Amino acid sequence: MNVLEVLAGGVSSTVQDVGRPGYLATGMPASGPADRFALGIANLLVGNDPGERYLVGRRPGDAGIEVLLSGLRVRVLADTVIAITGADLAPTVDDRPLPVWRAIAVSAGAVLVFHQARAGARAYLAVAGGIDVPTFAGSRATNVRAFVGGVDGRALKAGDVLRAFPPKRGLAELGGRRLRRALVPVYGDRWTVRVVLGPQDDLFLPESVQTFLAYDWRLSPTSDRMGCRYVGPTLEFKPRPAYLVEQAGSDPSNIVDDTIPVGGIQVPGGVEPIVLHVDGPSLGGYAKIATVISADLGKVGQTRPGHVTRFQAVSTGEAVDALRELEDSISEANLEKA
Amino acid sequence: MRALEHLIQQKGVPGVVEMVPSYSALLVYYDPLVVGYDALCASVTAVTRELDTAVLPPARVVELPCCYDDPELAFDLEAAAVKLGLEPPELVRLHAEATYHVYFIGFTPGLPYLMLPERLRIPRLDTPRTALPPGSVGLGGGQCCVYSVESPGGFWIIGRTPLRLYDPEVSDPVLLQPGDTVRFRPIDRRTFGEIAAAVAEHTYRPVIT
Repeated sequence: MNVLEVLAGGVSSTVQDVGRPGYLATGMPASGPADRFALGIANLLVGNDPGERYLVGRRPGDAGIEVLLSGLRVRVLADTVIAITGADLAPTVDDRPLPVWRAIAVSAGAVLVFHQARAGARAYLAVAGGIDVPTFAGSRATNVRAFVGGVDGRALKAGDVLRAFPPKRGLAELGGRRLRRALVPVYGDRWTVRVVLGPQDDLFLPESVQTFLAYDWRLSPTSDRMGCRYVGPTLEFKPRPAYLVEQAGSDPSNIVDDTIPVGGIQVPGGVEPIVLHVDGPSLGGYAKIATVISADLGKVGQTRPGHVTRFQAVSTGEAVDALRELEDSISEANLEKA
Repeated sequence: MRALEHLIQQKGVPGVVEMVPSYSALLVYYDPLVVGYDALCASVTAVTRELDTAVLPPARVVELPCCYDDPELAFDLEAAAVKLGLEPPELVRLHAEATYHVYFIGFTPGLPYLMLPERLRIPRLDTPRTALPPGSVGLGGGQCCVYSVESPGGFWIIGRTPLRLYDPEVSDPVLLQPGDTVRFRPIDRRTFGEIAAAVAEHTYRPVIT
């Protein structure tokens, strides 16, 4: 069933499910939502499958649309129920403000517009049944760099018509459901993002590791789903062993090409740490000072250019607890009827 | 790293979801809700004790046809030869005679990491190019790179293969695997065009032995 017609694609709007882990060794990142919680709740609200665990799950769940900042305009082609979660992009339906974090019945002909970012950076639009686009390697997640997933492996543009699968539950039953108020995230202009230090923090001067953890970094506008760049002081490296100078390259931040975990923070040349996100490369030749914990990748995804981030070091145990908490929170039990 | 990856795969270490090998590290993704970090480290450490006796599956040899003798495709050949103090045909001979071990695949989908023969090691370009066509064969540092999708890069481009190292239109989109051996076979521009046309129609069969 045709459900949405794209009137304008906006800054960058892509179809995403939880992603396609399992292909990193071929150079194919997992993709999926920049904010796992927001897409998961959007799907649950409209009766869809929120999918299995971020980055390691085998079931990507249903697909929705990730909307970056502003500009997406879509016409509804069939009566359905939608939910918008994540960033508050001042959405309207036929010029009336649309509440977020709740399921809403919309009629054929209605026009949805995402006007401007008021809080956060990425909104998620889910439609009852889930977006029906072909899968690639088991997932519908768009990866613009590998040209796969979503609509022809690219961001949405005017003229695209999206189909939805049949709703899994009655539309009347879905309308009005919302996320429990206590769980609705508050997106400000200051973020604390938890990291586990390493794998190459030992190549940096200890003072620079302290600076990294103490400074109020500002997100650069040259950030995307591959990498998010932070502006701040230069970080310094220890004198390097001879084998690194010989084999890795002339810059003190160079290492012999190494694997990059999702969330890894490279610091090329010691300037502008880059958090590699869900579309990021699997390998690279720059020292990584720390790795953003999986549970906090969504905070990075919701940070707007110019906003401030403080990186906070935690243990692996705390990182796992946070991930468990995140995954447990994407639960039907956290929804209520308005 | 390949041997460790192979052993972990064979043993089916619980909780391991996927692995990414590199020269000096093996990245292991695990489901922390299935296995704890400490337990996983203990399992992997136990596996490393068997590394010395591990037997890897035999390597495939994959032939990449490569056009070196066209300035449009091999636009850095002359300059790279000057930099290396070689005549261009000598550079081509050294490059095509060597065999290359695929250490791992990554950076972009299907891109192999290959080590260059000593004589062809060359500093990377001072100013990386913003867009290199897929199939471009480049030299940089100690590495030989075959670009799998259009991407920026700081390598000296000495040829181009008409094969697609990454082709999302086919069921097995990535041509090479870690552990493969790669050989480059020099072809002229006409052959390049013929193979490229066959590849576009999905009728070309890569030579794999």
